[in-house]
Amino acid sequence: MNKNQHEWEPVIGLEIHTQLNTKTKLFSRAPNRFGDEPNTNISAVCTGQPGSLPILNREAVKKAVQLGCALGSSIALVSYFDRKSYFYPDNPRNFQITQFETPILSGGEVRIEVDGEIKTIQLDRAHLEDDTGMLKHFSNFAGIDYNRAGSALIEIVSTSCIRSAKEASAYAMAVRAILLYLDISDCNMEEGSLRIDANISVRIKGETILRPKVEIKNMNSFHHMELALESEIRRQTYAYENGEEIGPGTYRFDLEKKATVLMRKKEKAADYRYFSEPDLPPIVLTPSFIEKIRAALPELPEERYRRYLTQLNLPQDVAQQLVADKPLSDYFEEALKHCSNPKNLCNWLIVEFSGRLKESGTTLVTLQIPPQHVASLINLIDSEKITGKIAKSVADAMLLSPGKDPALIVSENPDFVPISTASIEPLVDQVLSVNQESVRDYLAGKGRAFDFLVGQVMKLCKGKASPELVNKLLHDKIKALGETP
Amino acid sequence: MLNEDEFSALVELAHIACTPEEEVKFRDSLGRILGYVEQLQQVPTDGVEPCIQVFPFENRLREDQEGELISKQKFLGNAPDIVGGLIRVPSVIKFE
Amino acid sequence: MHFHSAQELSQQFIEGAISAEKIASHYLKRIQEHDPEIQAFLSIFSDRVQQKARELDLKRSLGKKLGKLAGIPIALKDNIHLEGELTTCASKFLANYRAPFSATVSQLMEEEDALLIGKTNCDEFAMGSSTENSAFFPTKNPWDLTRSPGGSSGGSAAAVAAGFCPLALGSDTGGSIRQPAAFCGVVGFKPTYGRVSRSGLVAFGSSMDQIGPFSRSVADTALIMEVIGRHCDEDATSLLIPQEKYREQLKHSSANGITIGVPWRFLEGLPQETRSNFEEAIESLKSTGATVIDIDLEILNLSIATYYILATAEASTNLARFDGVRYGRRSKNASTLEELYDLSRQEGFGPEVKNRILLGTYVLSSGYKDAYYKKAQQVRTQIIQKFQEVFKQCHFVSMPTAPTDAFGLQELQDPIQMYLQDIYTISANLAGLPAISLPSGFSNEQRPFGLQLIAPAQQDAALLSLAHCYENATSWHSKRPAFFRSKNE
Repeated sequence: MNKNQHEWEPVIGLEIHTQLNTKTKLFSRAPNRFGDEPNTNISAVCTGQPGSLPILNREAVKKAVQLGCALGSSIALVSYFDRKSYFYPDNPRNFQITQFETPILSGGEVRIEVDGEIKTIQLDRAHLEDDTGMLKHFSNFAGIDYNRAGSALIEIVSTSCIRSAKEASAYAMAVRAILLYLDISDCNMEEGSLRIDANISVRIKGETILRPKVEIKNMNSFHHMELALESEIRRQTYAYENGEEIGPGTYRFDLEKKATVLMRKKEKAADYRYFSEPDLPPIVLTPSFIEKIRAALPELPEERYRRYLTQLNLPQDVAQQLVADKPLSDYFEEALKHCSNPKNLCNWLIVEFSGRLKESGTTLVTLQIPPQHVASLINLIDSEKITGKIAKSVADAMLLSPGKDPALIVSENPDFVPISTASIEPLVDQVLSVNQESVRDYLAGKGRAFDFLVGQVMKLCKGKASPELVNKLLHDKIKALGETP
Repeated sequence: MLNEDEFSALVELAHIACTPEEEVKFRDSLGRILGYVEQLQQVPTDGVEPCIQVFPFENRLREDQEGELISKQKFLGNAPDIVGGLIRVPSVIKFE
Repeated sequence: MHFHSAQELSQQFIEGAISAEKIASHYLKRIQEHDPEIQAFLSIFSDRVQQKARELDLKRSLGKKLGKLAGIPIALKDNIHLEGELTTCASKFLANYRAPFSATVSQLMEEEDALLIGKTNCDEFAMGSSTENSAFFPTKNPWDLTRSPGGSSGGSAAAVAAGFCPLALGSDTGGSIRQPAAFCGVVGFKPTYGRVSRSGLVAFGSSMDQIGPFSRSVADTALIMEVIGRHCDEDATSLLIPQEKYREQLKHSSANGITIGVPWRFLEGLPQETRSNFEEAIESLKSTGATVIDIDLEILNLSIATYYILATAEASTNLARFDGVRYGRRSKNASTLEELYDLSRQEGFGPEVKNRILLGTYVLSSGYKDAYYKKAQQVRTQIIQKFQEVFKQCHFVSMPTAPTDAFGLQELQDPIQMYLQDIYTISANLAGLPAISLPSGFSNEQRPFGLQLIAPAQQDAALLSLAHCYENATSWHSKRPAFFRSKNE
């Protein structure tokens, strides 16, 4: 219920920093690895030793171009590096090497879907820059680990066209999916290989001016980001509605308070004194180089989604869910090579197996259950060698003995072998003879009586009978008894 | 010639502490040097490209392969203050 | 022995006439005896060089192939890394900093069996033209101990002039090899930008810095340039051209058909003595067969202003890493992070370094960058273009290296006066051109003068050839400082 005088809309822009998964850092030959003993993955360059010089990693350039192709950006044929000066202990030279004047990528767009509506988020630019080391805060001092210093980053800057926390979340997830599908980043927010900063202001719907914006940092998950943005939207709207001003500043999201909290007020704008990096020549690309990369791009999330809809006829929400989880989607693709029922396969992956694995946090991949086995399970169901109900038990058994072929599981367990028609018929006869009233009800037109009879037979079969088969047998036998409605 | 406030801001940006005597001295010499380099303002340079590189170098990319590292010992050997394998500095307000 | 040329020395060693150990001990003794008066060295590698010498003798006795610099003691300016040794840059800030890696030039020289003998004094962080900005002590000119050896590579120039080593490396950002070479009566060469790797050289003006050699003959310069003039994978501004055979080219050196341009109008302000010496040197050049023509380089009147804006801008960021956090001096008086930065730098840097950092920070700062930095970049383009124009009229350009002979220690107090010392050398750094200073005679007080020759980019071999011709037509390079002539040699 809106008690506000005006209708407010948020104006949001996101800066996404993604750490490239190159083997070595951007300008230093030190390894790009997370989690090692502090100050062991270092070289002269990334610790800012005097006399050290940066040398650009060609793989980072390639990944930037791949990203540019995927985002539909304009890819600069000539782009320079700049020095960005500021003093901070995690900054080994007290200047960062970035691309200020001439980013390698300009423009670009990402399509998102929110509440059934498609929206295109326009991008401003994306560029290469090197990462800082890590500051560890203790009670009365700080310690610096330079393992991360110099790692290759791409910063992706959107325009401020995002109009809700949900849009922001959808956009961030879409970018993440693209990065994963291109295999240029691990996109692990806990490990810091994907970081998001938001710039947010609000305005009255219809206003074209931009009110002062606030920066939100340290959002550790997409969910936190949504909460943070929503909290900030409320805070700013409330302030304006009550005649208060919003001053520029940097905020972080406090999980306990579930609100944005001021980190520091914006003093005068920092003077970064950008100028062209004299130690590095420009990146010069040729159209043919870019085309080669474009031609070799792997399938992107949007393409895969479309293929799932049009070629595999998967329902939209299933397709979305699958595409959003690349490892699962890849697993699905592999399994699909060995069976021909994508819908059923999906269901088993997304619902049945996922449901069973949710609590343990493991996946089919980590358990090392090969996709062929899941395909095999589907095939067993489709060929009616087992019933749906039996299949659930087989699935349980597969999880207990990962790597064991379901066909083998079935053959080893008599309970899993479906009852033959010959064995069902006497049971059907038995049920019919004991429930003659139901038979009469059904013949009189009560459809639910039939279901009851099916249930009774299934009970006697202890779930080992195929429902379709039971249906058929009952139907045939009742027909034989009298007129079928 | 920079006024006192401008000079203070510059000194802050350059992160060099100055005693009042030093401020006077440096402000003076900076003013003189700036006075000397002012002459460039009179030079007509319309349409002249700023020199970014003295020679037209391009690319100079390297393979994505590990190379010479510096051992932790060598790195920390020059460090003024270390604790637990980290370089120690006074407490910092969380920047990020 | 100590005034032998590097080539002679190496030859004698290879032939077995003298051992490396003998060479090392001879030079160490000489340095120990006479350097206290000159103070060319900041550190002497007594143990290291003697160890290397022993290894080299063994290598020779085993009949193994010996490097191009075998048996030659060579000094390094103390802004060039040799792993494990101190690199102080003559600054309190780095008084205890040990190099974690070797400069490419150090590696290349050691691979060729050079005997690296020590680190030489310089102006702090290579900022200066007199070596008086060293935080430790000034170096004296071996020709006159009351005089400056020039700067910033004064220590290396003095070491070679005094016969402490036949070869030494310096660095040149605005004339820091050539001007001290002129003041000390030795050969000082700044290669084309990018010819010698900057990896392991503590950066001052990244787009202008070059490492180069001091020697007492062009042949020796050619020898060491063959070793250090290589492409380097660690330096993205390193030229992608093959090694050059400088000594080979010297054999065929001739000045016939060569045209040399002299910017007479630009040189109008020269003091009389310098002018006389320069005119004499030009006559000597003519006698080698070269033609001398008049050229216009008026634009070089802007070179000092241009240089001081660009070089200090680059330097202000290159020296930002000296913050007391990871290495170097950390103030004991700091309790907050801000204080750690501000006090460490206050305590660690000398006044000239601070001057330049402040200037460099200012010209890049918001609101001033276009007026200063960008403007200077544009004038730099004009200077580069002017040289290109001029080199269509002549093969080389010649000027005196410095406006005067060596000035007295503490004589130049005005920073601008000091900056103007580089008026003839700075433009070669702005344009990336190779340039050399050659001994060209003496002033009335018997202090050396230098003749400067400048070539188009990447014409290093041709430049050395012309220098060789000039050298053959004169005898200045064989003169020795009186101070050492009187001591028994």
